[in-house]
Amino acid sequence: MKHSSDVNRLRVLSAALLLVSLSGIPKLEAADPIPRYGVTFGQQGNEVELQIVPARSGVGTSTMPAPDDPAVSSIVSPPATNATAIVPPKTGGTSVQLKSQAMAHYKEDGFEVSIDDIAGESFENDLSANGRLSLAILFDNDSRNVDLTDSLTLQTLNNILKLMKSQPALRIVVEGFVDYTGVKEYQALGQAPDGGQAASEARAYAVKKWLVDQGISSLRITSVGKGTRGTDGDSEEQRAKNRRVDIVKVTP
Amino acid sequence: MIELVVVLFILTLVAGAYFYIWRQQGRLSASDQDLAAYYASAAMFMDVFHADTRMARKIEPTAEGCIMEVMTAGGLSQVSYTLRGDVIERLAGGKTKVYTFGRPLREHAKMLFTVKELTP
Repeated sequence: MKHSSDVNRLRVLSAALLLVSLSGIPKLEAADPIPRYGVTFGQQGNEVELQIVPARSGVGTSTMPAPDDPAVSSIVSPPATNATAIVPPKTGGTSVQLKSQAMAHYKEDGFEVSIDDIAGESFENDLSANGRLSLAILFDNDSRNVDLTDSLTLQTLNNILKLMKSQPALRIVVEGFVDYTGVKEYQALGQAPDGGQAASEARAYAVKKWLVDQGISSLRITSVGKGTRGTDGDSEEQRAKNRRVDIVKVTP
Repeated sequence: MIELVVVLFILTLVAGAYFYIWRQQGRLSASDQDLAAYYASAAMFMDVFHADTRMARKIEPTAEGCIMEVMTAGGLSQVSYTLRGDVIERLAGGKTKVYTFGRPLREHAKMLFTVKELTP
């Protein structure tokens, strides 16, 4: 008796399920498709097209020619040393001299350099207060790469990285400097014909590259070579201060 | 007399060709500079625009651009992008920022800024 009632109950349940599935009730509401937007901006013929999704990053295409494209026909003369510039550090590239709106509040030289307390706890506060910091960063012999075996260098770079990650809107300019005496020594060996400009650019670029390699957007960092600092009779301490990299906060 | 005319003719041709090459070089160099400045400006604009879209909860296309509802640290706020002539204006928190893209790279090239919802 009990067995037959269970079978009946099962039959009723199966019939109900069958009816529900055939009638399509309750219908599940299809989820709203994620809206996508096509964005076109720029001058006609050179416009940039993007596809964006709110709250997500987008992808885009543009007709910008590569540096070795035949459309880029000449090498523009290098920028003046006192100008804010985007300078590819490799020789033979296309140098572009421009001042952008983002750089409008970019601070130039003229502050007291003190390198001792850079990697300390006041790192973030110092940058906010002064808008500029000198970094204790060592480079390898040819100045092209940061010396990651030096613990203070690594600590300093990690401090910048931490700061850039904690403040996504922060933009910086990395300035490279070389000391006058060092350049003279190189020139005696037939090197550094440009007076250390390329070396200063390479130093700034090395810091930028390290940060970009760690995941910071390259658009947030501009590297600039500022050439030589100091004079012939500088002490070793003064020379060490002149061989430096500064980061400058860009105020939007 | 004929020799003199021929010499003058050849000299005119050579001078003309030299002048043409010199002028073309100058023109191409300036054009490269404009091109580079244009794309650098475009990249800077795109960086800001992307940052806004990453924070956007809603995007509303308008005739001259778009309006976004963005979630910031201070709560929900509005950012609008508007095309005005050759510049794009970004208005957020009562502050306007203008993005310029330099001289037109092509003759009579208009500045464009359109935002359209794509059909799935």
